[in-house]
Amino acid sequence: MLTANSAAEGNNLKLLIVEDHPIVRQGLIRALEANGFQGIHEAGNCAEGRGQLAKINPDILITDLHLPDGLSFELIQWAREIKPNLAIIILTVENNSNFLVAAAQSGANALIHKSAPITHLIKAIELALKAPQSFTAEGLGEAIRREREKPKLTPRELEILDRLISGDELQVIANQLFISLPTIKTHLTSIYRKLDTDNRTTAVTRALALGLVHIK
Amino acid sequence: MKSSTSEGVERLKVARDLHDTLAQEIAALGFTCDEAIALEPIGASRSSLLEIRSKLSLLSTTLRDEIALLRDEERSFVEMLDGFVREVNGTSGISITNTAADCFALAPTETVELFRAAREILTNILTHSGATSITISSRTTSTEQELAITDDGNDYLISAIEPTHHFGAQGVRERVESLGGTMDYSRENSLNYYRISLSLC
Repeated sequence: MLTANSAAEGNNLKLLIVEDHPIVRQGLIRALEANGFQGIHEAGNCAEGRGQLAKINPDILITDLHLPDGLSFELIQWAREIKPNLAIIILTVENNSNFLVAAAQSGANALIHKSAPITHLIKAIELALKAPQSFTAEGLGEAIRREREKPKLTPRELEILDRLISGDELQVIANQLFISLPTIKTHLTSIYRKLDTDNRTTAVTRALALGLVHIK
Repeated sequence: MKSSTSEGVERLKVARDLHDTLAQEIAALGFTCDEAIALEPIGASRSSLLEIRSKLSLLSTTLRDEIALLRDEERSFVEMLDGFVREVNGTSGISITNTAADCFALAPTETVELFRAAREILTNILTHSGATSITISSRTTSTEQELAITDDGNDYLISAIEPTHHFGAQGVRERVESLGGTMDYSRENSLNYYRISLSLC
């Protein structure tokens, strides 16, 4: 039976932290070392994380969600493919339920909020090492329920919504997507119906609020 | 809380800034505190360190809620309250039982105000009362909706020396009164009772 610090003690577990905020990275490293972890490596973005994963072959990956070169989901999926028993923990300040569901689908073992004491992170590591197929996170059930209630837009509709944010005319968007203006208008009608609105401004605002699209 | 597109974009930028700066700084402080706790397993300052850690977690949770509100994330009052309680239950060591139902018929902006009022009460209890358990419940009568919060802590609101030290109770009252409701506090049988009442008329 693992105890609070047994994941770190008495073995040579290697740990990789991918976190772009140096102040958080250093604080986390010191807190983990004070709890018995050794062999901690670090990276500041997804690309560095890939390099370090290949180089040091860690047993545990702790990664932030938002990194300078994108979300860490691709990194997690890649890491899971090359090492199925890797313990993968997402450590984030993110609260959006969209990310919670995506985290569960990415192959991570846990999503822990950065506000939680280090003991929560260590418990998540222990569970992930024992059960690499598991996923735990506060609020997962609620997130799944909300995800189910969210309007289901097609990839093309999401693409059009994404371009509506830019403020481009419909004809410009049609040209960009190589489709006709009437086809764009048909998609728009469907988008408005699914988002329960009748105009472009409200559709964009509602889509942003639901996390269906994001400002770049 | 819905907003126009340009205002919404500005709110998202503010949310992003808070997420990228203040939230990370608080997280880093929390980890530094974790380090100190691990290095001080039995020392005299351990309880103070644990208290600081708990307050940092609470502050971080509050900031995260405010970021979510800035992002216009659509959540009902009970969803917001559930989220806050769930996190605090995991980090404060205080048992919180929440049976509040979604019986509050409010506009989105009013829902946010009610949540902030309830959160302020809970934060005050967690920070000042020394409670070991908190219960949250709601009920609806023919004339009003009520949110009741009870804790087994000390009488910190009554024993506050200066009127200005009433730990935000006035702010809570003002928020509730802006919704046309009332907030009452009483001390009975060594328990603190807070009641937020909103008229249905």
